[in-house]
Amino acid sequence: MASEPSGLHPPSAVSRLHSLLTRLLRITTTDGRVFIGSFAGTDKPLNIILLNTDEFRVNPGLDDNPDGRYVGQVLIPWKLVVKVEVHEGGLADREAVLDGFI
Amino acid sequence: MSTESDLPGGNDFHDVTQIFLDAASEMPPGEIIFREGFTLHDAMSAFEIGEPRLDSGMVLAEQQRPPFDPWAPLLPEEICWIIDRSFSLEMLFHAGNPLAHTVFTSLYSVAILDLHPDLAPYGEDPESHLITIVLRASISGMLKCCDLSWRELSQGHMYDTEDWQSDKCETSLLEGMSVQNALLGLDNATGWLIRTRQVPEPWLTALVARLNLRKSLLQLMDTNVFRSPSNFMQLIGVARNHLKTVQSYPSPEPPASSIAHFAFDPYVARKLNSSVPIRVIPVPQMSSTWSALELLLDGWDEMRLLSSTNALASWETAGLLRAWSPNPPLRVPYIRSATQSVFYNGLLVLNKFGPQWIFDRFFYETLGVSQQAVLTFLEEHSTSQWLAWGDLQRGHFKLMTEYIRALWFNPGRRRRFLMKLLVELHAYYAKMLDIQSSMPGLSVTEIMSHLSSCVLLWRLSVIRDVVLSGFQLELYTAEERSFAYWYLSEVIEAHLECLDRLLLAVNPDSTPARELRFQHSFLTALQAMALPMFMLSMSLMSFDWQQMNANFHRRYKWAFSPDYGLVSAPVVAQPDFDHFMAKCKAALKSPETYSPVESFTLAHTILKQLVEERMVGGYAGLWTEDRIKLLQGLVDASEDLANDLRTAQIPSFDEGLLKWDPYNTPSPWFPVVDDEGKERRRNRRPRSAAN
Repeated sequence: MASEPSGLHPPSAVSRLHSLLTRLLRITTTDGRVFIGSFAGTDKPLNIILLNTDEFRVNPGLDDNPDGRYVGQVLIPWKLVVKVEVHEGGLADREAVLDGFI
Repeated sequence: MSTESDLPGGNDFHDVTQIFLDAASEMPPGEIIFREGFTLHDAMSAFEIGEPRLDSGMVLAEQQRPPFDPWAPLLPEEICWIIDRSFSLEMLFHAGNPLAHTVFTSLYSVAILDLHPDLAPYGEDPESHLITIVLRASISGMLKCCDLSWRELSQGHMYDTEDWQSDKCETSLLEGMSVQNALLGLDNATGWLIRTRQVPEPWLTALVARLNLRKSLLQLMDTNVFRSPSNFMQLIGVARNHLKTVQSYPSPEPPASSIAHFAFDPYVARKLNSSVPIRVIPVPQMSSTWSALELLLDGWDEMRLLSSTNALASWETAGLLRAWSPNPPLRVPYIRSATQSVFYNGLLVLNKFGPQWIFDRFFYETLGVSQQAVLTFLEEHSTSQWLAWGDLQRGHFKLMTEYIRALWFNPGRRRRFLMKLLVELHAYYAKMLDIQSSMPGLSVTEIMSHLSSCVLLWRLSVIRDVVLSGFQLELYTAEERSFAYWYLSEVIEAHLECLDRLLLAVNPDSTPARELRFQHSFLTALQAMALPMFMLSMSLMSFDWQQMNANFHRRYKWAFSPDYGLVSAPVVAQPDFDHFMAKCKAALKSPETYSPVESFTLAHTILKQLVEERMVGGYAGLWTEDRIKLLQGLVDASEDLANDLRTAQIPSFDEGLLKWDPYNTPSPWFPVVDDEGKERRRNRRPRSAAN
């Protein structure tokens, strides 16, 4: 069950965050990795939970598995986050987005 | 610097970082936002990125390394070292470790598909050929060997995550490459080295020897032992020769500054599709690797011998000796699986025999008569109208094939299998008793009066093995050992009674009689060692009967399976705790009536005679020396125990005095008197006297 923000008129930023739930996010982290997965939730300290996530490395070497790897359900603390992006294609599934890349 | 288009997923993403920051500032403390149906409980199972214990993809500062360049020029000695280290990693995989922590930590194996000569960034210089021809052939050969091993191991004889790790992390083991192609690559590499002579000695010989060794290993894995047994034997000899050459041309570890070290990354699993937490396995010394390889070759050799062994009792002997003896150590899962495949391929036994043959051998090897003779006799003498001989034959085939295969399981799995087998063997024994009862009036010297004894002997030997495996697996607590030894002696007593009866009927000059006589002597000696151990280890017990009884029911739960209730025949040699208690009380009341020293001495005399006269029974066959080794271990154990009891005047043992160490004592089933324990006891006595 989705927890609703408190109050009858939720603040606009939180409601915009709500609209991102289930959308495909691309999160770049400080150690040069990129995680692409479906946004499942977060909390005030912004620990972000992604489902069905694939992990990639920016500028991978020959031994770096350029196709990325499936890491499933992950929690990314905000201190590691450089950038969060959302996929334009609405509720596009993971395969549809990644197939062109992999 | 990466541009947007470099990032995975393409350009259809837009930045929402600020939305998160704004929302966080608006959210009250403790607020959580989840998608529909997602709960806090679900969130608990997420892997936390940045947490080293959970995040297998995280690179710690001390693990930073330059990117791997497979084309970096290498010296011949560096190539040699990389090949040797890859052998070590392969042996670690065979020892049951995941590919991601062993073979794949050699980065050339992960990048093998990119190592094609056409992709080489430089020209026709010898350095590039060393990589594109020699190293590529060697690594391809290793991966193909791993592929063939994986295929054998995944047949179902070995247990995934218990005996071996099947996870390939979606990484290629060159499954699509034929063995012939891999062999061709190795031949080409050897040919190039010899033809061009561009590599100086001793590295030329060293590299050729390594390529040849890999070739013979690959051929061995690809050869069907039944199709060409002589070729198989020849290949083992060839591999041994190449291994000797490799050992005499060792490759020193390159200096720390060498780029060869970058060819290995113990943390490679962070880049592979693997959910197993990363474990850095220390790469053993080359001497250990070559020893492991020799053991692998020994295993193949034994498999070859077994493939031409048509006596089931010899198969059983070989399997039991491997299970009982700590030397050689347990064969690697690949060999144990391949040996099972050799015995039974799912259709035929030893590639040519069906159920009837198995049944026939059983009667022939125990009683010296054929199945046909038994059947004819039954048809003539049985009063029963209906004889389910076909069912019996099929049931026997299933039990026997599973039993022989189980002898090559890992020790824990083997023990569990044997415990379950005991109920089925009892049901089988009951069926034989029914058949027996349909032929009244047979005298004890009549061979056909012992049909049920064949099954009983089998069942009793399985019980004995279950009890003994408890010592080898170090399952028993100090309090349980006395019962285990007492029960062992009880099982042996029933076994000896059965053997006595059989020996009256079996032709004394036959092979079965020789085996039965050996078993009789061996078991008499084993009983003579078990009985004093029961008495002496009684002092390790707490005598809290209630607790001991509860422990007994847990340890011997296999004997109380409700399935026994489905069979009306009484169960032979069931563990009986009340009987044990009575025996303990009787022994404590009059300890002087029994002399442990004499008992150990008797065992020693019997065993020594067996060893000196090389009386190893009728079915030891090619495993005669192994059986002698087992007996010699028991000779040494009985002698040591008798001497220690005699010279130290020890009336009983205590926990500090005895040492059960199945891997470092003469016999895995009996303890040694620990020198330190003796010293402690000696020092304690004067203080006791002073008190």
